[in-house]
Amino acid sequence: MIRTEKLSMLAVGLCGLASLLGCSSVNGAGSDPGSSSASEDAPGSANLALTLANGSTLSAASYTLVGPAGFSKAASIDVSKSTKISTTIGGLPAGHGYSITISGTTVDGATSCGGVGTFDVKAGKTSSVTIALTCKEPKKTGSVAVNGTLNICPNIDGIQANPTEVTVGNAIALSASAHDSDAGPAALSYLWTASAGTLSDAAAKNPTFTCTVPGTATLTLKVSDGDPSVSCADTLTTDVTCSVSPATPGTYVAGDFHNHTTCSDGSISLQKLVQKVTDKSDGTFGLDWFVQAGHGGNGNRNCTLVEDATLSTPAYPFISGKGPTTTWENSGVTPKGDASGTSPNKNMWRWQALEEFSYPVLEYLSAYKNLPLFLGVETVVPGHEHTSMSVIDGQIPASVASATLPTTPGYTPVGSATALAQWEYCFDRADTDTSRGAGHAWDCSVAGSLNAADPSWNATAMKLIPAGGTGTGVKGHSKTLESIKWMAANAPNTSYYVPAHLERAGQFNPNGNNGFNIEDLRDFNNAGPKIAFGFESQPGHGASANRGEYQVLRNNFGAGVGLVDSVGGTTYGGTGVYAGYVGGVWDALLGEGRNWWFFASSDWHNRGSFGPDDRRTTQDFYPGEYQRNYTMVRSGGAKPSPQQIVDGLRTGNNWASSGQLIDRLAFVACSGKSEALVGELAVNAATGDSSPTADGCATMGEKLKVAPGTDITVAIAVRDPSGANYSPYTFANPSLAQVGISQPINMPVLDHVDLIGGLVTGYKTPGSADYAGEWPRNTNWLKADGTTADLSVVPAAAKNTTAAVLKTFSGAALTSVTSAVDGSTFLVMTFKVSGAAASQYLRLRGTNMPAAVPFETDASGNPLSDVYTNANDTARLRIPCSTPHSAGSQFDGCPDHLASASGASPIAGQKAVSFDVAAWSDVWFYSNPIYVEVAGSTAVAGVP
Amino acid sequence: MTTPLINASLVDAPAAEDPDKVAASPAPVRSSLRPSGWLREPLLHFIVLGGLLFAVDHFETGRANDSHVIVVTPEVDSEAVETFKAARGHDPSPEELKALHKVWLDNEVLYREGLALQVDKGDPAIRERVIFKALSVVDSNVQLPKIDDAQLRAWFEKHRQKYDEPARFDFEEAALSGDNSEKGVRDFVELLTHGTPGDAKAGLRVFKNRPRQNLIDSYGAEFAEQLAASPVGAWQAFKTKDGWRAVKLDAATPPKPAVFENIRGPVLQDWKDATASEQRSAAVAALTKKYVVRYETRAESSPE
Repeated sequence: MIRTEKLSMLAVGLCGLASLLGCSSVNGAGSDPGSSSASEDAPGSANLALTLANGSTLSAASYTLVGPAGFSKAASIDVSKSTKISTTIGGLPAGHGYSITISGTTVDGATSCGGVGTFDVKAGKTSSVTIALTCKEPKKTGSVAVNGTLNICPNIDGIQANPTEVTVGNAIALSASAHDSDAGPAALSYLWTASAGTLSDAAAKNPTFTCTVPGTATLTLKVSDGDPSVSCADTLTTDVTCSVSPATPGTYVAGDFHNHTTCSDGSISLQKLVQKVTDKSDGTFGLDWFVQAGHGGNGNRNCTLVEDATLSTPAYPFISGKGPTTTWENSGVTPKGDASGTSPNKNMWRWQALEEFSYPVLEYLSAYKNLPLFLGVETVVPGHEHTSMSVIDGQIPASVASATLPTTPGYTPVGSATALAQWEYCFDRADTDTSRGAGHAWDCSVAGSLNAADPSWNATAMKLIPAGGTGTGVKGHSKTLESIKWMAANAPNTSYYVPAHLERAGQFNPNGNNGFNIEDLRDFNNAGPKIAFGFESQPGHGASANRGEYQVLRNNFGAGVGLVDSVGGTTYGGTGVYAGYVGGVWDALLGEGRNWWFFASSDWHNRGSFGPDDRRTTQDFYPGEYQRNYTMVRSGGAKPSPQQIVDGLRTGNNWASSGQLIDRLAFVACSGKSEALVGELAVNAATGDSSPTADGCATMGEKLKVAPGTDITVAIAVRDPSGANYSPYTFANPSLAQVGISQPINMPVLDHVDLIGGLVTGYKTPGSADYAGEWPRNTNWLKADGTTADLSVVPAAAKNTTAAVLKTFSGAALTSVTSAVDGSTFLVMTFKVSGAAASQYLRLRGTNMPAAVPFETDASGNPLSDVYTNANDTARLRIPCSTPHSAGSQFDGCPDHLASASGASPIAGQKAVSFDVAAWSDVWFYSNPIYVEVAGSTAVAGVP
Repeated sequence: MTTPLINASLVDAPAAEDPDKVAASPAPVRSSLRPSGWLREPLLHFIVLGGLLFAVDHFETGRANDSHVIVVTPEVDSEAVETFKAARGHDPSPEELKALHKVWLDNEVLYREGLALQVDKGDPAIRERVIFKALSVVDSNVQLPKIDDAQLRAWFEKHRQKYDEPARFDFEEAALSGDNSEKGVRDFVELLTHGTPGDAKAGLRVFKNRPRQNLIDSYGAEFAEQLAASPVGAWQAFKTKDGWRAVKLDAATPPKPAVFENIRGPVLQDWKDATASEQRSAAVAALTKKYVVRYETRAESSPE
């Protein structure tokens, strides 16, 4: 039906004057009383819009006027604020036979209106004409001719998953059976989706599903017959189980990843260091794995030249007069890039030394001596001090094992350390080379970062080179985060980044390159959780005049700030304050549920006052001589590969022991098991030097998932090895002598083990008030009298006040169990966490020092500041070393090189425990944590 | 790396201004004009030691003047032979000896060239080693004065606290985890008194033969007094310098004065160590006077 609507009458005033002045308004004489002017103000009232009865709005109309003698005129009429269509048209020549056509269309374009009128024009008069406009609106209804068709929707008859459980990394065969009774409108189509894991072909009828993460995966199948109705397709789900891969058998193997040769500032060759560290004869230290990691930057000495003929190998023979202190140029090598220095002592950039010299020697020794070796760097960190790191891509490929080794000088490596070399070029603060690795043309861009848009970007070097001065630390820190992002993007599983002796250089300094605060560690872990996963809070340099080289007023923070202590002032029983103080920075990080692990290192350089083969030292210990990381490496009994070692470090299934206090540790937490059973698990694992594994149990670096209220049983088994450790000294431990205990210093006895626990409350948010906060500086922490403040002065960001010693095991609480395997004795401890209500962690420490040993431990067994044994300030030495040595030995009594107390010391004039004797006197071990994640409580997000 | 040995000397210097050290010297010796007395005068020691060091310095300077002459001495020969024999089990052949000479000569050339290049500068290991050797020179020239029994006894009496056997205590602490409040400890002591095992909470710490000074250092003087007055076998709540603790005294042994005659040997050794240390400090202090020392660091504005 077509509806015609009559629009309200339109009044048009037609003025015969040529001038508008001569034309009256619509209200003027001669106008139709009923008309009104459309051109006059109708001040702003949208309500007056011309609305048709059907609700449509007409905002404009147009007219065409035709008159005598060919006169014509056309214009529009604005009716957007009018209730009628009206206008006055002037300037019309007098005459007869005018016609005017008006048309208009509603705003929505749906309705059109039009009409025609005729009139005459008399000179000086205004004629009126009324036009009837007819509006036509479109049809609004229609009709349909219905012809019905029928479709029967498809049905899924079943899903088969074979098998329904596999370990992560393995596949499950899926098959679907479905039918469509009317076989149309199209052939059946299949669409699979999975809550986790991957599908070989989501649109296949019978794809395969591969497990990628442990847990239950829900698979959903949707089958459609082409019917557009969503509800017509059929869906069906099934669950499959992805299990944790049964671990490849592994053992705890001892290693070190931070040490130096003459290529940086060490004192011996690469070959001598490897021999000292890995040989198992007298005077060597028999580590199971070894990462050689000198400083980044540059150096002018060739550490691949050996000291003497005993270190000769076919590929790298001894060359008379060319020892490891020979400069690169004097050994016939030309340093590449922007080499500094003057000939013949020009420096070689570390990237070149790594790639072209250190790596080939290390790969050769790996094959020649069948040793698990690889190369790392102690990088000089932008905005901070140092970090132990490596990128292992390309290093020690499996084919090295079957390579034919040369019988004459020279070796061409099978693998390469090019990836590590590139990282070193790109991100080491001390590498200011702009050559892009000479022929390598390296580009240090990081995907998704500012790169060239960063003000610190150097287009020649194609890397960030932040300017010095104000803001050095802040800009440097940004570059450091880029270095971790680079590893996350380019070596996500083949790199690690572990800040070294991180308390030594003081707190973070925004205007310098100093230490690390907790927010820096959080930033690192956030940027690369699989790469920045721990710290060396137990530094090397254990025999130094300042243990660990941690020292009061050590660091100059520049004008306006002055000298700043190493964080904590000194070490505490050889460990930095971050991990050594219960409730401190490490506990704060663990309290977030982060994967942040504890490591120790030797930081070997030299033996201070003594030669490299002397058993005494006033500076460093060899790797393995004093501190050892015991890392669970799962190589199935074969020689560990670099990847297996890095994987082991990353898991956190690692513990560290100094002075060979213990050489076996099994630490396990289980739910739903008796103390006897869990204790047996621990003993069996320790006997096999392996990690306890059982359903419902977790060990270091792992998390145990439990329901609220679950009882947790913890068991610890350790072995305090019989016989002497590597200490050359045989006299009674002078620290223990203070409390009447006579014990040879080279045969430390485990006095007690502390089980430490704390609650997990989740990750701190960057920018929040409790994300950042530095440890109190200088005497705000370590007082002039050697005592310390407590956690009340530590900012919330850097502490975990829930951390505490839950149990100390000593004396009768250490149950002896004799191994049925080798007859050695294990000490076993058990503990029950009753009704775990919240997520938490558990960790261990142990020592040969009882509680309340003056100047060593406090009454609760915590290590005291090592200020009392640091020889750099002899007025603060407190522990006399009074056993005289015999005339022919420096080892059966206090050796001559010990410092004598002086000044205000109450033992002034006496030889005092210091240097290496201080280190051998108090020895400790630290485990990494076991997490317990309680359902409904905080997730332990850092551990899968 | 710092230089502890030199620091030790600077801190002590000058010994004569240290009243403790003056008092520690045997009084009759200091007032005597007999040769055996003035031979013990520190000033004489300064002169003698300074002269010796000057002689060493002069010798080294002389060597430097002849730095282009290298003499392969019989000592070099014998050391090379001994080293070779130790490694190979037989004397070197003439050819092998010639090769050993070559190694030694190469090393000597490199050593001298290295010194000429001043590669030892800025190397803390070399600095440490030189300091250690220089101190050894000083030590080797220290001549201890003679001391008679009366003087040694007087020295012993002055340092008697080191030799007297102090009061010792056997005790146990029943530890609590994270609670060192008075109420928490007293409540726990109540339980312990009624049979709760000492390791019921955070473990039992057992201390044997702890000297009284140890208690003062680790727990505070108030605790030491309270423990000494405590009945044996009773759990008590004691206030210590870092909170309250549940402690039980197991046994106490009274102090016992040392008898000089029984420990004369160790006392004599201690006197030798102490006197040698004083003389070493005095010798280094004398050497320090050769230098103008200017401190530009905030940490060391003046020697203590």
